[in-house]
Amino acid sequence: MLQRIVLILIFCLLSSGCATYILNQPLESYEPDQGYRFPEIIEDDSPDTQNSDSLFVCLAFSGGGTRAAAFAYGVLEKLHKTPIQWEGKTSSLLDEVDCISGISGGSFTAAYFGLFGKRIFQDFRMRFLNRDIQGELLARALNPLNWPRLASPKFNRIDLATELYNETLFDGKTFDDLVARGKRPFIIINATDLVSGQSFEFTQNQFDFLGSDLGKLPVARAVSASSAFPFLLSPVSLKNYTLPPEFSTPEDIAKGLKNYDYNRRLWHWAIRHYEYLNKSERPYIHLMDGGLSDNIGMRAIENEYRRSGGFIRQRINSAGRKSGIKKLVFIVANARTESQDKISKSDIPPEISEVGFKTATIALDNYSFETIESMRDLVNQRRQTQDTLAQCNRKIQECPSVQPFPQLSREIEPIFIDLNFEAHPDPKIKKELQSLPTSFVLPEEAVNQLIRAGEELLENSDNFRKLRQKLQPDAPD
Amino acid sequence: MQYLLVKFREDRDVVVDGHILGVTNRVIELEEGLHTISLAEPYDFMPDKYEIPVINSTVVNPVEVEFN
Repeated sequence: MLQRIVLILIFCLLSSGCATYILNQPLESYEPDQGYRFPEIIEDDSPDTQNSDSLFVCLAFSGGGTRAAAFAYGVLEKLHKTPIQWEGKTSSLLDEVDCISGISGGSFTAAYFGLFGKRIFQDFRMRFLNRDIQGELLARALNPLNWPRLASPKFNRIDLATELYNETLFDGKTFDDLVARGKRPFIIINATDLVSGQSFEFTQNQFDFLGSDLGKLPVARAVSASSAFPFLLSPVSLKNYTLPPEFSTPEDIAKGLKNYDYNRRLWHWAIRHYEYLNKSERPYIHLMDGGLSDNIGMRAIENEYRRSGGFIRQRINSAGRKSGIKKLVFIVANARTESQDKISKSDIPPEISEVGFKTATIALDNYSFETIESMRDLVNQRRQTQDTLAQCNRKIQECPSVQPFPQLSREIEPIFIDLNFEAHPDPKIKKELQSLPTSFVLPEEAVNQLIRAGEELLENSDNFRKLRQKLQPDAPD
Repeated sequence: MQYLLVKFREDRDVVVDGHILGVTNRVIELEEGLHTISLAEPYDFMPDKYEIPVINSTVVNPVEVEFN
């Protein structure tokens, strides 16, 4: 008997010693045009070329567990059901989605759509939304067969989560599989760097600075990092490798480092990348829930809009070339809930747990609000700029001797659509939606209600209705 | 956002911080800050680049640079 116990103990120790998390792989060579980056349009006759540059659609899916995942799914479903005619082609608005930025719960929907396309409408409910993911995670953690592995310092609850998502949802797919699809939308899965507190994007542009090949990493690993809720799940760790000898800092980031006195936001973005080049100080990177740095997912898109190297900015300014934006549509699916105000009803100061919760969430909620408004301001600014220029040139036409002002590289129509439960027209449904918890298990009826809410809120959006009217198949081109 | 006008004798792609970002003789909208401005090939222009702050501009009063 004693011999058997000793043997089991030895087996456990050996097993725990071997257990380790999925390690990101080093980059064999630095190729700035290879890997998981925004895909260019391939001009051929395949049906995939339905997605044009000229109608450019970006979606942001917020965090919020299954609540956010189902709400985002509802938005996708509505886009799928929206027929459009654009530049002589008939398709659905979903076919024109170019990028999706996802956080935590929203990253599941984004990643699944990126990997499997419209198959999402056949099996995502069954494979994710209607499952008790939390319960399955707990069952794996409580399974004695996993205890030896969990005893290892290099294997934790988050690694069980990665295994679960990898096996039962993402079918072992890696970022190379996303590259192999060779089509849009480009999926940006966001996590938070635990040291800098800044957003970390699972794209090859970001992984270049880690000297790492994102292509080999399972998509489930990125989604795990994006949804690694503090305390419930442990961080995801990445190795920061020595750079390939041919690596050179991209010029826009090198220039950003010189912008301390001119544009602190740009400088900060460049520093955020540059810090990963300090290999001796930061040989490992630890990531947690993307919601800690941006619970909306809009910051990644905003960077692509602002930065000179951003794939949106390049297409806004491109003139006289095939690739270029005419209509630019941003849709935010924000699954934020309003917590019930119990504090104001009591004359007793709130307990420490309540204060702790408020302390953790107030700053995040304020930041999320500002994230959305910042993007709305950018869109409005662009529209005003175009109007100003047009008005000035109309006035100048009255004086034939005066030269008109030069035109912008490209005139675009920017559209911003912000979806949240607050805007639901039915007070009863609004209250029900706002009382749904952040968890990875929800009753089927709640999931159905969230999906309907995604569709209805999009349908009720003034900007969406105007957009659909202009794009409907029988509308004048 | 800020505005830049790159003057040149013909239409040519403008390169900002290593990326093609608009064309010559049209206003380019870009982020505020210090930028390196050049033109795409062929390299038949002078100077080879400008490093200038693009700040305090409007669409009707853009920062202007000229290549010859």
